[in-house]
Amino acid sequence: MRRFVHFWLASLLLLPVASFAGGGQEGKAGEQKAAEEKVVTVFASSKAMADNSWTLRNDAFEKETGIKVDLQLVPGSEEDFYDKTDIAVMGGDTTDCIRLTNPLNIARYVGAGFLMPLDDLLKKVGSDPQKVFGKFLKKHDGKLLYLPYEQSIHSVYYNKKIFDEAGVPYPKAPWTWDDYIATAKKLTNKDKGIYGSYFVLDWEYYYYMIARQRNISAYKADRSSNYDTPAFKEAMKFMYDLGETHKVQPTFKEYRANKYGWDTWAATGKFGMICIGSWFTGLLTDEVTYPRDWDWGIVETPAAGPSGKNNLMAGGVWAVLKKAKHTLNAARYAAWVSERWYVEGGGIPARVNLTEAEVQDLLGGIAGKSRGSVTVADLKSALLQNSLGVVDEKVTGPKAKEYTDIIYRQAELYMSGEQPLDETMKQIKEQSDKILLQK
Amino acid sequence: MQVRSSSRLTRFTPRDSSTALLFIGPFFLGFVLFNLLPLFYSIFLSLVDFNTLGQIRTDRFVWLANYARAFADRLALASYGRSFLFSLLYVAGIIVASLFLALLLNRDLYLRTLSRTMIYMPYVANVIAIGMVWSIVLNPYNGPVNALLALVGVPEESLPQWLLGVRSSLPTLAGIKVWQNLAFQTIVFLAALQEVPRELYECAQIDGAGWWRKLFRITLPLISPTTFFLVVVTVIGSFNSFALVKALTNGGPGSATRIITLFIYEQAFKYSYYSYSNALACLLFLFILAVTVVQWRLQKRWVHY
Repeated sequence: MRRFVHFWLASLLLLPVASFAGGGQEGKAGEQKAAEEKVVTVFASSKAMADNSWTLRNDAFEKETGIKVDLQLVPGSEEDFYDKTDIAVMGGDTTDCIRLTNPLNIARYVGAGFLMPLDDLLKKVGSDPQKVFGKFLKKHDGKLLYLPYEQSIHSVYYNKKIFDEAGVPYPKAPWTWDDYIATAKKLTNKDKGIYGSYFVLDWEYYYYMIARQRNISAYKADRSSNYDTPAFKEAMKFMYDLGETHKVQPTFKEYRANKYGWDTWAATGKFGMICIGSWFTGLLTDEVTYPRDWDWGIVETPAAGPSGKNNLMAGGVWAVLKKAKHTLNAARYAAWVSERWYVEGGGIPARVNLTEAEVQDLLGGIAGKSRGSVTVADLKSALLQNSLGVVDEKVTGPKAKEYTDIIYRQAELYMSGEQPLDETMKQIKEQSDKILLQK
Repeated sequence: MQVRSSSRLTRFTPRDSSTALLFIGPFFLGFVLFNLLPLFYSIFLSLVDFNTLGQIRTDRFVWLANYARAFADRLALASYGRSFLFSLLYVAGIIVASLFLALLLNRDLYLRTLSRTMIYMPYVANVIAIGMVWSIVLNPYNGPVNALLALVGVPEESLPQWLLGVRSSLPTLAGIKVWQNLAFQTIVFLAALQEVPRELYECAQIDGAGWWRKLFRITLPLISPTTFFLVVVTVIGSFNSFALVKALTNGGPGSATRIITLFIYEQAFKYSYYSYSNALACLLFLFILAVTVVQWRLQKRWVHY
């Protein structure tokens, strides 16, 4: 009996060891099998899994290439998506492709060495990224690590029904933020629960938007924080005043209390205007997810004064992860989806090889899906042929994630009325300098 | 089963020892794999310099540098302080509230079964659902609680901000957590109350003792071992709170509810300071251990076996 018990206990203890062993033996055979499989695995958030445009796009890819797209769900909120994929990738996950939507995450993944160089892979699958993406391509140490699928250009979208009911003419460019505020005041009608303006107050870049439009860097030459520059204080106050002083949008506390979010403007139809990236056209042309009984318009972003005639731009990318199992399929998927993301998802592609006719079609597609809300000319003048220059939407640089989190947390206190403006700027400067100048 | 008694200890036979090992083996294996090994690995990680996103590198020992960083980090120390305050509020609240409920349920109460079910429901509810419900209920602008307070004459500027106020958010979170976890403590207290001999109350009644005197002289002393157990377990649990805070406030407004567990999570998963976050976690473990040891030492003063 004793021997039996000892044998049993020893087996139990050895079981986990045995299950991990032997993995190496299938290494080479596994690689060959993976190469033959007509499948590509892609990290997808819960939102993406429910997004109709993802389904349409992946179905089209499967039909065209015969390669099955296997979405690897990363459960939880969008905010937590990269928290989880970081750990998965570090732990040796073999998922093939990932979409990086934020310049901060692109910088982190490049810096961490998580991305597979694409130059040779794309040649093998017959793709010429230079021809398609041209100036939008960015190389790191001479290597192409990702492909851009969109250029997200900011503009102001407006609810025509609210404008019509208020008897206010539609906004015309060029205009300034003072004009924006004046317009928003005319639209705001508290009795009807209408606000003239809406900003996604969860997104930290709005709290330095004005400063970015003036192309002022968040970093000084010595890498310390540039938050003692008056432009950043002005930018912070601008956002506060919209809710608390001009009362043209929900206050920060109202925003939080009512659980407003990034798609509230499209979902509720209770706000006159929103300044946001061109990816937003994807929501406005998706009447399955966002049914509406109102038309929308588009106009270029207001200028932040004579030195602030710049538009904010960002862009998302597709990349192949370094431990990808199906490298060629992944490269093919990344190239395909980057090139035609806009067809189902809306937005403006980061492509240089679109002919004038294709641009017309692209914009015509958005205009068509808008049920006549906007014309091709409206979209062209707001997004592509406007009077503004271009600057990066977000702070990117050393420890950008921590830096922008500090900005957001202090902004939260100021916007909630819990901390004066000067103290807010002082805290941002002090706390971020501590992080930025840390060795 | 043959049992040999010694003067102080009852010993098992070798056969009984083998059988006992057989039964505790599966649990022990799971404990080693999922508790002990991760704990040791966490201590190991806290001693190396693995503070960047990238390939896992654990070859550079920096010994106590991560711990020194924790003591120099004002934000980390503030988070520990918030956790301590949260724990004080939560433990006091839940012990008092659950004891009160147990005393009520220990009587012959109309709809007792229904009451017990209602007390138990929050315990099994999903934390996200709890978050959503309380966000609506405690909405300072449109919520029913503030509407009721306004109705009874509380001026608008004095209405509490609940989860949106810097000063009110942490106590509000503690209150919601008390509501969520009342069931377990109530049931344990109820079981302890039912073990108190009724004769003692009858004798006290004869001697002219009132309700309060019976409570402080009979009930509380006799259930003190259970109270001690619940206080220890609740304190440990309160320092590990994460889900509710993440769901309701995510550390805000500002850093008003950024308790240490949330801070550790952010250091690891948002900023990739893996070794530093492990050092913070080890310090939290030591802190909870110290609090538990102090409680253990102090029990002689008020726990009656």
